[in-house]
Amino acid sequence: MSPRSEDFEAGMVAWLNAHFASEGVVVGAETLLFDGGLINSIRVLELIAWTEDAIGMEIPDSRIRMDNFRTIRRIAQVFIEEGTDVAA
Amino acid sequence: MWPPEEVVSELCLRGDLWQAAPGLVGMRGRLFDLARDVEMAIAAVARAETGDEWRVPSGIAFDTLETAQYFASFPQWLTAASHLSGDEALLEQVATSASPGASARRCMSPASAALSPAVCYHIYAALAGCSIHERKLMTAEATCWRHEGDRFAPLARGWAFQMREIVFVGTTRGAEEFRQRGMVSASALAASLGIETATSEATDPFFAPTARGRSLLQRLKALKHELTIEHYDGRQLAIASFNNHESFFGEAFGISLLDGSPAYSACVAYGLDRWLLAFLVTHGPDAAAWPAIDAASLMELIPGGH
Repeated sequence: MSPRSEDFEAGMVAWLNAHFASEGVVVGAETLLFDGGLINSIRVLELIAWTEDAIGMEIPDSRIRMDNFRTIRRIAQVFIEEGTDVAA
Repeated sequence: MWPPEEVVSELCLRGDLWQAAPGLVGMRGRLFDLARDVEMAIAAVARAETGDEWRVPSGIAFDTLETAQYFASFPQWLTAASHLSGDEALLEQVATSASPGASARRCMSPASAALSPAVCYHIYAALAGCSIHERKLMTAEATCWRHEGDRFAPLARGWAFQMREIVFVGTTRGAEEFRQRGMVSASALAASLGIETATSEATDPFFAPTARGRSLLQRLKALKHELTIEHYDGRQLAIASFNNHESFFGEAFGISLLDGSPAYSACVAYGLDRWLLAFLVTHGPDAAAWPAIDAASLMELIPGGH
């Protein structure tokens, strides 16, 4: 994993734990984000906005799929490791 | 494939289909016979899933829609049931007016109920506060009302239209299994009627400002699929939808499982007028070209339908 991915993961883990995790819940890089009600319809927009801000690019709706957003690690893998072409 | 506009035009010329007002159509003759056959075939698919058939009211309380968070989701479609005031002077004014229709429209009371925009809200309201053991499955057909501005097209998009829903309330796993079964059955029914369809992920047209978030969440979790036909010119028309609401309605209406957790729900919805249109654009407006529809024999083709 590249240093940039590690930074991304650490940043998102800290942000989710600070803003979304309920008491007693700790979100990690492999936590399933869409199980257990952690991410709702408002938070999903914040999650995407945070990701876009971190990668410096807008993510098209066609790339917003469960397979790409299942966990923080997966988001880092897809949008940091795999490609510079986010729209692909 | 026949162009839908040509089919509708032909049916209107024949007098089998007419539009009483934008979005409100009537039918008779061979077309109505066909509509009933299609309706029976869809009802047979529903009965393969459940024997618990309901007749839901044609109107729905505003409170129920509020509980279902309808006003945050689809307020743009709402149609209400109003009535004339019981005030004698007002009634006299309407009765003696030179234009009583226009006068009546001015004198209507504020709406005291809405016209049902969907079938399943009635079912969640009826189960409110209940505790469910594993699952409940029921079905109902009703006239539903959705005002979609100036987008009306006979049979494809009506202000009022017939909808058959099959509704599941129960466990997480059961809800998704039910939804998957619904996709298989609806596709099989379409194929047995000679209708070519595709199933694809979909999102609801949620009202802003939460629209994008809710649509993205729906797509991310693959909670909604639609069965669509493709018209001769590439336009798509959804004829059925398969929806997993997760615990949304269970929480909203206080429907729980025996362990106290909110029940999950899912529904399969068939737009009957659109199925009729799908049949007509496939086989044409001429009744002589229509294959016979026998609900009983169709069931042989439906998984789990016999």
